[in-house]
Amino acid sequence: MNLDLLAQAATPPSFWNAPHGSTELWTKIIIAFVVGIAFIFALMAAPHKMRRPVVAFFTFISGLYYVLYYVWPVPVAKEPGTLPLNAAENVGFWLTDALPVVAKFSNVLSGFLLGLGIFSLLRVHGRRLFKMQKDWFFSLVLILSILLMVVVGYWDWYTRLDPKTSSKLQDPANWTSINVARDFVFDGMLQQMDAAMFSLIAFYILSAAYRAFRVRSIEATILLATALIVILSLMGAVEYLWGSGVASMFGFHDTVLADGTKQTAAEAMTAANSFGGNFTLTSIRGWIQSTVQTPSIRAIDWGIGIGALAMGLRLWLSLERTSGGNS
Amino acid sequence: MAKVERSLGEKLQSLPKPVLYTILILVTSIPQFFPVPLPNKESKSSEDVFNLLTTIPEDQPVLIGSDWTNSTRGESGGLFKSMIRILMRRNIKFAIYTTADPQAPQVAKDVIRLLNEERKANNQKPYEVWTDWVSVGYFANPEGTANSINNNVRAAFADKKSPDAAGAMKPVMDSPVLANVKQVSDFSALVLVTASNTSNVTIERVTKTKLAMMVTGVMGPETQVYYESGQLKGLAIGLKGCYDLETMMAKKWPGKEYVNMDNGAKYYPTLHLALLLLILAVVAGNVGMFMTRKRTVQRGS
Repeated sequence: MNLDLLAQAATPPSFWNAPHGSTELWTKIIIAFVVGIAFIFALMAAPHKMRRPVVAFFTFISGLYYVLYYVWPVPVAKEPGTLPLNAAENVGFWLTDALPVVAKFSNVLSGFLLGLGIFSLLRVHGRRLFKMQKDWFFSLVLILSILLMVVVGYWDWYTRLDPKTSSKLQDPANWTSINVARDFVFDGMLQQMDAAMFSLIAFYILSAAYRAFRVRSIEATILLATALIVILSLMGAVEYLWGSGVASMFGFHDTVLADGTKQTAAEAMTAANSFGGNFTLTSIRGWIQSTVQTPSIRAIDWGIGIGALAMGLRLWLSLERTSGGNS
Repeated sequence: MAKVERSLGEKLQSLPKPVLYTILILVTSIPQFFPVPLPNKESKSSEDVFNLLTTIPEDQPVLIGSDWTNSTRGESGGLFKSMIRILMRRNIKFAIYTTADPQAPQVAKDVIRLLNEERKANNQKPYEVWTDWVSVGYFANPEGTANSINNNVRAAFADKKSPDAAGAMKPVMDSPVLANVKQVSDFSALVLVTASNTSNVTIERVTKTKLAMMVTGVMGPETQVYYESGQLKGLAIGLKGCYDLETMMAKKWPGKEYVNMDNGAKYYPTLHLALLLLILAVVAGNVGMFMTRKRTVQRGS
């Protein structure tokens, strides 16, 4: 079986990789796996006081890379083969060259988070199923669904590995039953249920707007009026009628230009750069967005940014009490 | 115990949820059976996306971030289809990557397959995977990946593979789409179709090529900030943005062999009626509140 999952493509040979399918690659993978598992067990077995400095050390080193990457002067026009002029530039070169490797580390770690999520789901629902606790049937459905998707997904992927069949399978007319099954469970079921779940938001929005949007104060009235203008501006037909009404008030009418194209009253008003152009729904919405909404969001983002920076510093330096295994 | 008769004002303030929901189902379903072309004035930000896509050089590939799944297919799907149709009509090669959801690459591939079937039906050359476009695949960490793309796109995509024209798995960077790409600025633009926070992640990190975005309606206000500042060269927002693109495409490519109107045209009347229902419901609630207040004041005096 030609497993391409662990292939190292187009990467220069180094200590960190090996030729695809080679014994060296498999040996390195197995050693890394065993060392990783041993490290995790050692960390779990270590007393809390010992565990914390280890976690703090790795957190600091990991964060330090990105801090340096952003604050250290980076080479501007570095070409392959360019040599650093001094020690400071040497560090800049190293930081720049190391980024793809660090990004791959972060991708692998994030991949582990996905695996951890699946493991957690299986543990919680497996326990409920085997102990026949309340609603065990739903846990059974969940576990069966996961298994079905995994089996069908990987089987479909396996059928596409062979170059001879892979190009044929680009055309649905050549699909086998497993390809059809993958299409059915992924596109026919999962994706449709995904869309159906999301569409439920429309019901909540309508219900919430109906009950909450009441003119009880000046602030609520301003909010309601602003929301109404933005909502109306999203309705092309209303926007068109409003624009035509404003244009006719300012003396503009639908016309046919010299080249035979039709020009609506609103377009004529815009083309003439008339003062009335300020009163179309698009213009009013534009004014609200650029003068009121954008500065407000910038202010909120600024506050969030400062908060995130403070929290980031606390996490990076392991000052946060809940981090580093210190509960 | 005698049942207390509720006033009209009280009734208007507490319409039963099943009634509201039934009306919503009706007003959102009926227009889909009776499509009505609606007048439209394209927004400036949508025009900028269209102008960018129709003026970028044909010999440079476009990098597409596809961070949406079918949960937002009405908006994101329509925007994605419009963009791909424009690129296909201009014979521009493109590469697609994902950082938001593992399902997204498959969803994008399915849309491209449907668009290829549409092209075949209209006697146009289908877009071939590997030669004309490639799927770079999914990256689990958006922040690290965006940094890496900006820093060294060849290294960022080096481990990713795609079937070539013969069906053999090969590194995506060897494909005709990416063979001449040395750095991210070799892409004529990065267009991100997203329904998640990857818009912020990308704009904070990818600075060396032109950026444009296609976002959902709810993400519009937060993304508008970056369009206003000039960091985004174009921004299509939600279903309105989708309909804007479709109407502009219809003006540029009026021939019958071109499919221009799709999700935007299908769902825009529905959006109208849903928003109208929302306005009516809010008005009814407020009228009921004032009627009840007036009655209470009259009783008190």
